[in-house]
Amino acid sequence: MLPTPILDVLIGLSLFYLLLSLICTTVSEMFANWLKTRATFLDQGITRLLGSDAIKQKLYAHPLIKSLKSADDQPPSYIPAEKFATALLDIVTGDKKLSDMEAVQDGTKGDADYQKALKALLDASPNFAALHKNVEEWFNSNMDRVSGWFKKNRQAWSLSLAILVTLIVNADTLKVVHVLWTNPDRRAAMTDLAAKRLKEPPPASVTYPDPDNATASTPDVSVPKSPEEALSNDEQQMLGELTGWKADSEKLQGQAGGAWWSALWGIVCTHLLGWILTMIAVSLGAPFWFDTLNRFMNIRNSGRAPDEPRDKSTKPPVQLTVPQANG
Amino acid sequence: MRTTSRALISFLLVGGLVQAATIVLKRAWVEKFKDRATIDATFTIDHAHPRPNPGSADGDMHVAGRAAAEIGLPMVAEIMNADNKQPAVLLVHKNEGTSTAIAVTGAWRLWFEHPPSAGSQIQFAAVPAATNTNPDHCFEIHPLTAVGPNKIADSLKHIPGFTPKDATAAFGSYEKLTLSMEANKSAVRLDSKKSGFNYVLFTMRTTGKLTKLDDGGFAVLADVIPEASDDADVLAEQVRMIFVPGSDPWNRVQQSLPIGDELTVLGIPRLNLNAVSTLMKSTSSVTDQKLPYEMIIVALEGPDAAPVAKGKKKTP
Repeated sequence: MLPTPILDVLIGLSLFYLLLSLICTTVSEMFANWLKTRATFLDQGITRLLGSDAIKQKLYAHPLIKSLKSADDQPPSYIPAEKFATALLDIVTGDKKLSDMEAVQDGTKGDADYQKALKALLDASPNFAALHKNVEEWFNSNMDRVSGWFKKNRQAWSLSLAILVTLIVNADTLKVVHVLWTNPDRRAAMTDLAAKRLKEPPPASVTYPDPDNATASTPDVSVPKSPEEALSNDEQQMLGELTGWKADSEKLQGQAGGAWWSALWGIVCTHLLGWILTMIAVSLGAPFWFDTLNRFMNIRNSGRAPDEPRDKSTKPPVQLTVPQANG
Repeated sequence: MRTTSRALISFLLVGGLVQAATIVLKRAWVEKFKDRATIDATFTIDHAHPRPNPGSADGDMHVAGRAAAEIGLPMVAEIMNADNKQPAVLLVHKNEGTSTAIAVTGAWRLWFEHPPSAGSQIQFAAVPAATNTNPDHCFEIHPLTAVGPNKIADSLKHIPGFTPKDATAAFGSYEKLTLSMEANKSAVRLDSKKSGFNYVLFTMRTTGKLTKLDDGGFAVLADVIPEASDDADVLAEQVRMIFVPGSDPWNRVQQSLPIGDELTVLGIPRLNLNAVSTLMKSTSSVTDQKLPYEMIIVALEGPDAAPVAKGKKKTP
């Protein structure tokens, strides 16, 4: 068993990083919502997929898709593949029956990207059900690419925000370690806060926006509306005590000219390594630090959480493939 | 330095210790069953309980076996209130260990209740014959509604002599379960932690209308409260409740289930594949998000337990 003070410092540091990561996540989500990043990426993806602005506008105006738009009539941030396929085929077939394969064929006569793609999918589909499925897969494979763009965009945001937040609040890892190592009361308080944080329910992954349809789930993208909402009062207070510019600004007071610059340089040199460590750590994201905190707390609780299996074997990475079968 | 090394070693060891149970499913399979209450399978029986559990122990009969074509995972099937279903029990014993497959139907159930102690379970990889009635498994057909020609959907009812799990403890546990997921074009890997709490007694308060499922079953979104009461604490919100075709609970809800109606029921948790499907379509991976689960409603309890004749509305 590890000496408790070391574990408590690791727990405190993990919680510190987790809270800063949560601030970054919340700010990032606020910007993403404000800038409609998800909807913008989806819109760009659909533009590339269909290759025609006119058909895209028709798609957005279709009742199946229109109902997914936000209150301010912005394009939706998520479209289920089934709805996309049904709406597109409905538009292509016009007044004729949705499952009328000849009507679909008529609708594919043209040079737009979506018409060429639909024609190829139609040729590969023996019946309407297969065509619908193929359109869904076509949409999904393109949305995988959109998810990739979005992910890269968010990673860049995460790093930028980690740098920004670290500097704004003066989050110096070395200083935090020093405080935790030399102050047993602070360590104990941090451990209590960590235990409280881990007891909170995990974030929801999926939601059912229409209570009358128990099969129409959508990803839950709800996030706290502000950093204050993401952190409890105790956590905010603790962060305030471990970070801040007060001590450093006092060093600059009363200094002038070259002495002021010299003092400032001294402050930067003192914190630089700690800042860099914080920036790297925070850019790893809240899920990583939540998992790490959980592991350290499990070690502290005699190495095993009450609801964990007793097995101590480590598992090898699992290859993400399934054998071809008739299932 | 030595202390630091010990810290790292302990960290890595416990990293392994808290590794989640892992299953890898075929995406197409998830899509097929995400909105079905039940599954049909050709089931080869390896081992079965000599006799059903007594009512005090849940009244189930456990049957371990394989269904390579439809399921492709280590599995068990369970008959509820099996003492009253002797023809089905006899048919199970007749085919036990014979490698003759029989047709079965029942509620599919993915749940990390008996995960393997090491490694993962990959769908449609070779499944060895079970060597006992309870092999490591995350998949069940539980409860069965048909065994060969024997239709036993009416076995989904109150279990005499059994003390169900407490709703507060059970849903408190479910709500804290997490799921990590990674998906590619053909497969999805799901990691979670071992969890129990079968047969929990609770009251569901509907928040929406009934939705018909692909196999004729029903789903409805409902809040969970420990017991029927206007001011009871909500233990879980917007949980999908699944009603199995032909069962008493299914007969009851298809007659009338207004929004806000409360039913006291016995339920079994399972992974919500509808939510998993949405999740894997919206992103390629998630870490430690709330495990999406739903409840298979296997019995009406308390004041709602009075049998309801088909086609007749229950008198309030």
